[in-house]
Amino acid sequence: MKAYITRRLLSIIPTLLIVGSIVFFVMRMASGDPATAMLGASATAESIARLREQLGLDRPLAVQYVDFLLNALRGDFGRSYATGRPVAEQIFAAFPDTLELVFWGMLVGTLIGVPTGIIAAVRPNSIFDYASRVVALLGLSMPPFYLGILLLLLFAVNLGWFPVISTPQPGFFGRLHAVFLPALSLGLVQASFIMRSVRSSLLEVLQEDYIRTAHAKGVPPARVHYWHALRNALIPVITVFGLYLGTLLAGTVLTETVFNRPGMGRLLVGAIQQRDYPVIQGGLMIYAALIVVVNTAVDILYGLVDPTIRYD
Amino acid sequence: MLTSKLRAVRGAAALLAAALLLAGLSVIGDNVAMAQTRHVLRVGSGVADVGTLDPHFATNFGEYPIVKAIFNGLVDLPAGTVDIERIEPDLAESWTISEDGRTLTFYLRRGVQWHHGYGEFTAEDVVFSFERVADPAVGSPWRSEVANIKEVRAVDRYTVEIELYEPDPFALLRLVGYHSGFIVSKKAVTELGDEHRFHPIGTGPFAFAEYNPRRSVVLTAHDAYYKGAPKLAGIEFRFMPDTATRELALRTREVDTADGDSEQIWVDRMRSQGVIVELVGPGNGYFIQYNLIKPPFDNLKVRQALSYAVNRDEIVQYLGTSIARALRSPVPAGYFGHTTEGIETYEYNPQRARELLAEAGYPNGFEFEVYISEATSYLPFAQLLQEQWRRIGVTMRLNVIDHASYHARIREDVNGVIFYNATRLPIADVYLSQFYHSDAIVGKPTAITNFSHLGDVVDNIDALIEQARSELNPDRQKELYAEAQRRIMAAAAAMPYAQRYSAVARQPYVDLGYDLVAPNQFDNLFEHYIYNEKTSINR
Repeated sequence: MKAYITRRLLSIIPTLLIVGSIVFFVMRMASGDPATAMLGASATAESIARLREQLGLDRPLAVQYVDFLLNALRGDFGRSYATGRPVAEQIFAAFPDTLELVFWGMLVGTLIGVPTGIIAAVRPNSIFDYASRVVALLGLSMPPFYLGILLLLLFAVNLGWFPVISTPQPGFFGRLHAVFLPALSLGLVQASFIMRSVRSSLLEVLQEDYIRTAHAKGVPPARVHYWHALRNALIPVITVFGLYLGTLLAGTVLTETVFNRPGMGRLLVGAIQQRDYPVIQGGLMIYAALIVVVNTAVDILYGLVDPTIRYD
Repeated sequence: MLTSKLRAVRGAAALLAAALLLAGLSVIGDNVAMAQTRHVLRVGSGVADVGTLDPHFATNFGEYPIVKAIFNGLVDLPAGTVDIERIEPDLAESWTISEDGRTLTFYLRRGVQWHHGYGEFTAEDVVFSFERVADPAVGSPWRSEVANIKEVRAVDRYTVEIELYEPDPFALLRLVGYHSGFIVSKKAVTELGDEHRFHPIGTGPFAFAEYNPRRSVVLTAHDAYYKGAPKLAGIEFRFMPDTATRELALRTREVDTADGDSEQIWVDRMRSQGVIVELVGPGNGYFIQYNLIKPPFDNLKVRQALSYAVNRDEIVQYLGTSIARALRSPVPAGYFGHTTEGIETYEYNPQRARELLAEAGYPNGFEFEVYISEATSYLPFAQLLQEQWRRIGVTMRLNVIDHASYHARIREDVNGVIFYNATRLPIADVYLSQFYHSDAIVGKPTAITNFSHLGDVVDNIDALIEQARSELNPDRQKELYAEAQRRIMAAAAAMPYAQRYSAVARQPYVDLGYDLVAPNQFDNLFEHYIYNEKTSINR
């Protein structure tokens, strides 16, 4: 087990270098130039060329790439072209806000998605089942920014319970107050995914022979559903959590924009528009690391939920 | 019995009167307290972040109103106007211009203090500032704006002489607090180095306090400001790139003013909710340039045909009639030197367009492809023209790319038709020099934004632009500018079609501290509200 975890965590390094390299080349293949973006339309070609020189963009691509790799191996992502500040500093300032949003979004998604999925599966074809499936379909089809604006209109503008600008405030409750609406907006969409996974997985397990046996030998239905069935139904759901982290992180981009939260999503969108290569590379590598870590955690959780899985 | 009742009533009345008096007094007290309270103004800025607060590098449109509140120039335009006839003293109290128009002498205001204890503003700072912008090693994007300055000399601590290569009737306008005209502190820039980018030291009504990446910039009142202590305690510029969020935050009063959306529907909706929406001029000019070296656009008749097929009224209708007006000249209306007199404006005439196409050898039209930015200030216009040209048989395929890529691609000379929109210093010279002078042709080291190749290929208008630039007689100068505009349109190098205002919004309790030129509309160079020492919140 320990060897497995170590192996998985060590695999982060090549993964990151591959992700970094892909981002490095894709960004440079996309036209658009950081110097032009920074200096604006009135700048002459000469000033743009001078800035490219200062940023080291006039060097051969291979030299820039080797430079990037060596620095990345040392954990140095360089300095942002746009602000001149170290990329690591910018990422570490933005990352906690995004992580906070992702955590609460996932929690909201789980708290709504898992129970709804269970009830829908236990009472298939009931009114509750149909209603929850329709709502889930709505949640899946609705872009998070649209849901965000609807939530803002209701809770911030009409009821005045929450601020429109969800900038984190000091203190636990201050942060919670600010993150509530963004997390709800992100979590509701997530809940739709989770509800559907739980429902279909549980429905499948409930058809298994051992469930019929449990019912036949007189085990109370609640114990059959929540002890025997749910435990087995959750295994595929846990995989889904790992997979959905990517969509969740992508969802933060729009959620952060609509709720005006300063996080990684906004940092990356701004960097892409500005062609701020070091920030894009650093940010996406951090995302890749997060996804690898979470998926490793998911694999470990497997073993805890399902004793038949062994790591060698 | 009756007496005691009366007494009770009297007692109650006295109590009530006392309570009312107290309440009244407390209301008055509150009012006094309110009058004395200095509020922090919260601004919903339409950008996601700023890249610098150094005025000699600020190019992002969200950076302008911030640097304008922090810095001053030697001279300024009256707040709320771009009336170039009424340039006011700012850091310079007065000035003289030599007879040959080549030397400007500025007498500086004494006792002006830099923010955060950086001492007194002097002639040294002025010399340093202009030399800094002009220094190629510094790399300011505004360097071309000081190209006509030969030397800046400090005559004494409070006198500065600026010597020009050529006389320039707009020399003063080019020195207003805008782009290259902002004066920075020699001591602060030297001591802070790179830090100055996010720790600017100015002389303006508000001093820099903090920068929170992607969140806000906070300024505090500079009480030693030479025009008097600001009425506001400070300004917080909050970065809110999403229009819907800015709108909602303005409605819940989480921000007091905000950058708007230049769309008629937005303006009408906000006004119906009691928010004041103003339109800022002279406005963004929208035009296309034809690439004169790319077939079939190298054929004058093809260009003329396409221009005749553009229906300006339709475009203005799309934008909204209070937001936009038709543009008929290469220089936008409201800019010094703009004219439509004697100019071929290519009024909508699809019949003539079809005839010209046939004469050019394309009786059935033709197809071509252009790259176009996905930005809302580009793509919809390309789609409108796509539809208008389809009606005369010309098919324009749109290859939609992101905004940064678009700007890179058009500088690589790939498009036959280039869509562009721009706001510049409102004198014909800037537009003409940047878009139509041959030095500005893309691909050259001196390139700016001449995508048509006009100047190298067809009818050289360089001499006209240069002559006009140093012509001191305003009437003669206007004639030269008019001739330049006539030639650009005669060569069909460009097709200007619309001019669009920027919408800005505020709650009625925000008093800007200056008068607007017209109801619901005013002019400034920044396309945002400008906040000064007189700006206040009256709640």
